[in-house]
Amino acid sequence: MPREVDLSGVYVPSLLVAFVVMLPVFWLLDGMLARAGLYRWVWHIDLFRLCLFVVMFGTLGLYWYR
Amino acid sequence: MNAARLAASLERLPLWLRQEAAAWLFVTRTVLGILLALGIAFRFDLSSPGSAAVTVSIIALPQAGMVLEKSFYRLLGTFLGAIVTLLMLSGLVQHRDLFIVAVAAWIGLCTAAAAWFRGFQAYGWLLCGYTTCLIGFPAFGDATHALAIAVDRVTIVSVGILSAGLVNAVILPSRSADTLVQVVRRSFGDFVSFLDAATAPGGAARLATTQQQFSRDLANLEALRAASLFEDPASRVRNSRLAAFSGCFMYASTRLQVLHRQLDALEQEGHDAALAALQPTLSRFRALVRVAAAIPGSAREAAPIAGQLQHLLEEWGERQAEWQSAAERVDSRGRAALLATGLLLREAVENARALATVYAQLHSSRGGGGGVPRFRHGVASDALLATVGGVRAAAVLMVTCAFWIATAWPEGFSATLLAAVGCALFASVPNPTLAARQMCMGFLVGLPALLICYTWALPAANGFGMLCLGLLPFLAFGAWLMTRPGQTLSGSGYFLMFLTGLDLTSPMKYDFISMCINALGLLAGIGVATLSLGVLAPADPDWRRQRALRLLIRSLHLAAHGRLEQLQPRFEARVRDLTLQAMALRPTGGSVVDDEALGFVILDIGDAFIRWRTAIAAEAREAQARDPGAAAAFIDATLDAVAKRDGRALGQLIRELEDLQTAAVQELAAGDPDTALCAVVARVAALRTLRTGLTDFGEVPHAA
Repeated sequence: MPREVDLSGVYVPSLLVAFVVMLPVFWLLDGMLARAGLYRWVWHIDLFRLCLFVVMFGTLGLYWYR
Repeated sequence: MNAARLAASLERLPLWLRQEAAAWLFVTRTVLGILLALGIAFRFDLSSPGSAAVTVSIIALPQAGMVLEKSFYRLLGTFLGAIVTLLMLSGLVQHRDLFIVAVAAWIGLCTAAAAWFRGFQAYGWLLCGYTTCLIGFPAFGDATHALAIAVDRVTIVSVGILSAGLVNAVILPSRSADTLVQVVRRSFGDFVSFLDAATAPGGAARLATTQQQFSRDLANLEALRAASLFEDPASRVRNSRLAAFSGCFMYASTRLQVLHRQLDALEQEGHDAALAALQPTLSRFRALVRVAAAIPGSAREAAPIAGQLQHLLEEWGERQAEWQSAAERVDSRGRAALLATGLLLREAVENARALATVYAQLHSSRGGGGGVPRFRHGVASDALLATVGGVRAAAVLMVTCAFWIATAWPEGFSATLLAAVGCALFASVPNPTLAARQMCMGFLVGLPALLICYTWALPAANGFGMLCLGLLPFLAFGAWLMTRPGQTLSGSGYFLMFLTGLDLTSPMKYDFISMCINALGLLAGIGVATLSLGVLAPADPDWRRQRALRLLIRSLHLAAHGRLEQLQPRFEARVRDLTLQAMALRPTGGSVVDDEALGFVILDIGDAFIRWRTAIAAEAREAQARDPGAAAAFIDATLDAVAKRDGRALGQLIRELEDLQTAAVQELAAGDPDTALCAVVARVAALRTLRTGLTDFGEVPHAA
């Protein structure tokens, strides 16, 4: 995967693509976790969700940039 | 310590301390968010870190959910605006004047949309409009880099949004979902108290005020529900049930109000025997909405209520038999009144049961909630005001652009931009004059802060750390200003002036003269937008209030002619929204009671219209319609008399209602009591509600 994506003349990092790809995936997973009632066992829900997203985004980013 | 227990221990602090603590937490979050955005923007060498900071300051709101919701619409608006700008540029890059006209038209359109929609959706449209200005004008002179400029703009906004979202969601968050839970619980408690007042003999007098409090709670509930969607995954799961809760809440409280009015009327007309026959059921109803004689504090505790009310409904036949036997002892008029009020009571119980069911279902965090009724929460937008706002914004933009071109003013861009922002903002708020005053005050306070910061703090900042330190007091002051009641827009104005005027760029240019000229341009822009409120189609709050009241009365047309399916919730949402609008525009020190009372009465009259039309439709289905044309003509005559506030005609109509009611009573007396006379009873109920509504309308001071 190239490190930059050509957006008709403007180069944007492909990390941005990873970010955008992961958003809907996270949205789905988040909904599933909420439906399963898992968040009741979490102390700081928003921090947990943020970390979850960072992990997902980081995984994809590292996989592409490796 | 877990978050809920922490919150509970905070509850014990005095109120002012809690409010101050919340305010200073907000200040901390906002300042941190701005500094974070600046840090990221400087680190990544973005062209104008100042704009990222402005983004954070504009979406700074007390609750995390609201910040995220506003961010979402800001990003959406920026995206759409950027795409439209690029399309415009691709077509009109060689025609300057046409380009300006196109931008003006687009901004006008978006401003009209901002005035039409409510809440943060309006904000999204606002952004969508002025982004064309923000990208279009710099890109017009440099068309080969148009896409880069657009991408840069979107990036800057995204950086601001991410910083604000991160800080607000993670650092000591104040969550909309928690407030939502509190509001839902309080609403149910208020409903139970309202039920006591409305059904007890000689109930409380200030029902209109309670009813308007409910309208405000409903608006609040809807706003919080939308905000929690962005913040709390559990709210997403509960969303449809929450929507149903506010719908049921609205519906059930209106039914109670109608019932209360009829119980009053029974008393006034001297139907004491009928009233006495209803009393046992009323007191059972009061007892059954409680658990162990107390108002339930949470959804979990409220679980048995729905079952108790269901039980009451199941033995409704026995109640009716009791009333029938009681009715034998009174005259035919009293009997009709008793049966009609009994019908209204049944409706009230049914709606209270629906509310209790939905409330109890909120306890579960899992999905489901099938069989929950769906309500639409419409708002009453005003096409005229939206059009005026749009035309005004377009005109202002063209005038400032013409001035910019004619004088070759170096800061014409700032002025044009601020004029566009101001016009769109003022069009989307309920009271533009007040908003303009606050905004201007914020700009005027921001100017000295800008001068002081630029002269002393900025030159001494020789690194990002020192820059943060230098900005800190100025940012904290702005955020503090936003927390003062009624000064939120002043705070936004302060930030717009301060941060835009500071023009933080990387690498930083330091030029006192051009900063001053830029600041003057910003002031001129907001000044033009404010002036336009007074010059082009004046936005006098009193005129707007009168218009809202006229629309309120005209909403009866919806009740009289709208399609019957789901008409009641549509009508009610509209009336409640318009009453709140009128109340928001009342002159300072003016009495709110008149508007409240008018909204209350219109709700009653409309309810009677819908009830009557439903009864006629039911009779028509059973092929025993008497004369539907006469009823329609009567409703039209009522609409006319109410719109003209014609006291004589109203008196005449009330007398005619008496005759209609007498006819219905005779019909009821002639019929066999055991056969289904539901439709006739429903008609009597409608006629009685309409009569009390019209009598009350004559007594509302404003309407006289």
